[in-house]
Amino acid sequence: MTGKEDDMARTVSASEVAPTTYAWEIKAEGLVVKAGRRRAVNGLDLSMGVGVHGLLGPNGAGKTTFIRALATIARPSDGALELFGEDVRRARDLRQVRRRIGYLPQQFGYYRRFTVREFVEYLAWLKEMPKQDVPGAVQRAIERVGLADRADDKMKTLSGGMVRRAGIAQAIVNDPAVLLLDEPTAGLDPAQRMQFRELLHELRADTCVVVSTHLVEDVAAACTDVALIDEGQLVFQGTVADLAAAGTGSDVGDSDTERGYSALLANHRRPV
Amino acid sequence: MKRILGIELRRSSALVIGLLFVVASLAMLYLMSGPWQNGSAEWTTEWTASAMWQRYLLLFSWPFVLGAGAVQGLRDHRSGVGELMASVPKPRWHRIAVLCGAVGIGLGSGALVTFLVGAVQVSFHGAYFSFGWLPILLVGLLALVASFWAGMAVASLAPYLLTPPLMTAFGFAAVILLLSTPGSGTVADGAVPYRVGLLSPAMNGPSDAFTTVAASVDVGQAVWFAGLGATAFALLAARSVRGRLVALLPVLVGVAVALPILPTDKATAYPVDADAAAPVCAEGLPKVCVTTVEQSLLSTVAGPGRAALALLAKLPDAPTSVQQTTVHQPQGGGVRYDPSTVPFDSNDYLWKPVSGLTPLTPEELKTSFLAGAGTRTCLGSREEWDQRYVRERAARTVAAAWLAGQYHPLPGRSAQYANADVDRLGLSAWNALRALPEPEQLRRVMALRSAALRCDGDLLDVLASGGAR
Repeated sequence: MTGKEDDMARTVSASEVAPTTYAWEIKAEGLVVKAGRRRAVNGLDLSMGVGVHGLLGPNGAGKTTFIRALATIARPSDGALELFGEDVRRARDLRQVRRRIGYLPQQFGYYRRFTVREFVEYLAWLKEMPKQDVPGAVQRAIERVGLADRADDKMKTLSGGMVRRAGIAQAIVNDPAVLLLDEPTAGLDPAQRMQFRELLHELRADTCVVVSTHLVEDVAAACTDVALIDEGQLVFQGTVADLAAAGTGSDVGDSDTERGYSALLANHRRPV
Repeated sequence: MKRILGIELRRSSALVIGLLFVVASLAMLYLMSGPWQNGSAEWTTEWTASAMWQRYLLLFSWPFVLGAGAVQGLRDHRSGVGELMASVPKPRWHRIAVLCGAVGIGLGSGALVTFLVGAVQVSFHGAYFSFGWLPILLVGLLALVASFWAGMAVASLAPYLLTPPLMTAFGFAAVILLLSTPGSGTVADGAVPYRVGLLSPAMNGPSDAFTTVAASVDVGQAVWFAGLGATAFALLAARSVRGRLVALLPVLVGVAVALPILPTDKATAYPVDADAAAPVCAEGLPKVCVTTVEQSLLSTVAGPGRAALALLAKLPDAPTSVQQTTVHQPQGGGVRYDPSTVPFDSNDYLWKPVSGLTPLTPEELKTSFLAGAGTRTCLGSREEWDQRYVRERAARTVAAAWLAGQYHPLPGRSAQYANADVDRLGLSAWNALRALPEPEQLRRVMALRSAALRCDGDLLDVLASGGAR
């Protein structure tokens, strides 16, 4: 059985067929989020809809802090952040929002003695999925990351790349409308990266995927759209082609996208 | 939810800890030599005693339960799942509740299985049955589970590798301190008031088959451990500093409510179970009675008891019945009792063989009833090493010999090293007594009996001088 057939067979809840009342899955305006005392996200304006969005930026640009704010873990200290049209800062109860989010943290922690299936099922329970959907959703998520043959092995027996894939499996198990992946390709070998890109291709039709990375080529291969942030602010948002076009032969990099990345960053950092 | 509970049961320390508890407890009960297997009320012979001994053994296992809880409490920190768990919709306490439930089931089953091992043997023993063991067992389960949760809570607040061993060390320090109530005879005797000592999960072992635990102890302990469990759970579920401060309330309230409920002395805390101690008498007269729990003694005791009463009848104001007493000789000695009965305490050194492996012969039993002309010893258990013990026992032997018309050493296994001394003194006093005229002999034995009833003076001197007129 393939994942697609599963998709057709699964029950569709009322909230999924209800018409959306918002224009963007993610909408940030003048967003400020602190990491400790530092304003790691500092006046960010950004909107994202369905599709795969590469979140690019140098180390310390505020990518992880932004993703943590999207995951409703880090509380914004200023500005506005809307998820599914709901203001996260004012929301009384984030449960509804959180049920529709999938999150793979940069440091993905897991219970070593759980099997892959048990861990993904545990997360499905924590994400308050309808009980009857859980076993099927767990199996489908594990298959989609290519861990079906290791599903009943304990997490502690997995290699680094497999752990990462198990992490992706738990993130997608609830068919999230917003999927947040912080450095998802770290530790994956080339074949696994290809498989991961295929997964992104499948998801981009109905999911708002935010992939944070500092590897420009990941973005070029799999993303419909790129957001480049630096020092907590948006530097550039556009298609991969736009990114590539921004560079010139004199910029640093081995590909058009890398040269575009360097040019945009250098431009942003240039004192006015 | 049921599936998640199943996962936690398999993957947390729940089942391992339950199994370890059974193995460790049974190892102590079977392999260590202790009062639970050679005392007057063993863990395999009486229901209440079985439950009490298992509570007693928490002295050793409880600190490890705290430490094991701390190991489990480190799981989230060691796995670094905090970030992921912070992003899920389900409230944190649901997750904590399932984990706490799983470890509660694991540890609780361990304690139950241990109790069942004792219970099966007790039921084959045909012991006296009452539900006295039930609250003792239930409060023990509550104490274990609440303490395990407390270990988890402390470790989640202080997630360091050293937390589990420190919790165990703290546990030992706590039980030892709580043991040090006034009159306990421990190094720090009197360091804590008696009722504070009752906050310990470990309890006294029973000194006999009719000792039970007062309802006030069960209730007080249940309140305090329920408070501890509630605080531990709330600490685990709390996400803010304020939440954690509020979480401390249940345990404070628990202690505040429990302390006034708990009794202030041992006699109130561990009373005689009136039903278990109710007399069961042999048919006919004169009366020979034993306690309900030790009914099986009756057939052994009845014949020799009546033979002894018949011999005692030659004394004026002779006792008219033989009764098992539930009042043990205190360490200092000197217990008052009805002079119309010949009391026997199945805990006395004299009686230990009755419930032991080598039963006394009827003749030996009769001799022991005649000892001291039907009186109890005035010496406490601490005085067996004393010269007073030798002199009292010699005098008591002579009184029995005079009634029986023949000198027999008193039966009993303890303090055998002193038997030669006892007999040397006893035989010379016996010969001196026999040399006296018959009425004077009777007068001397009567003087001895009345001195023994009053626990006044050296019985051998009384026998030699006739005592004060």
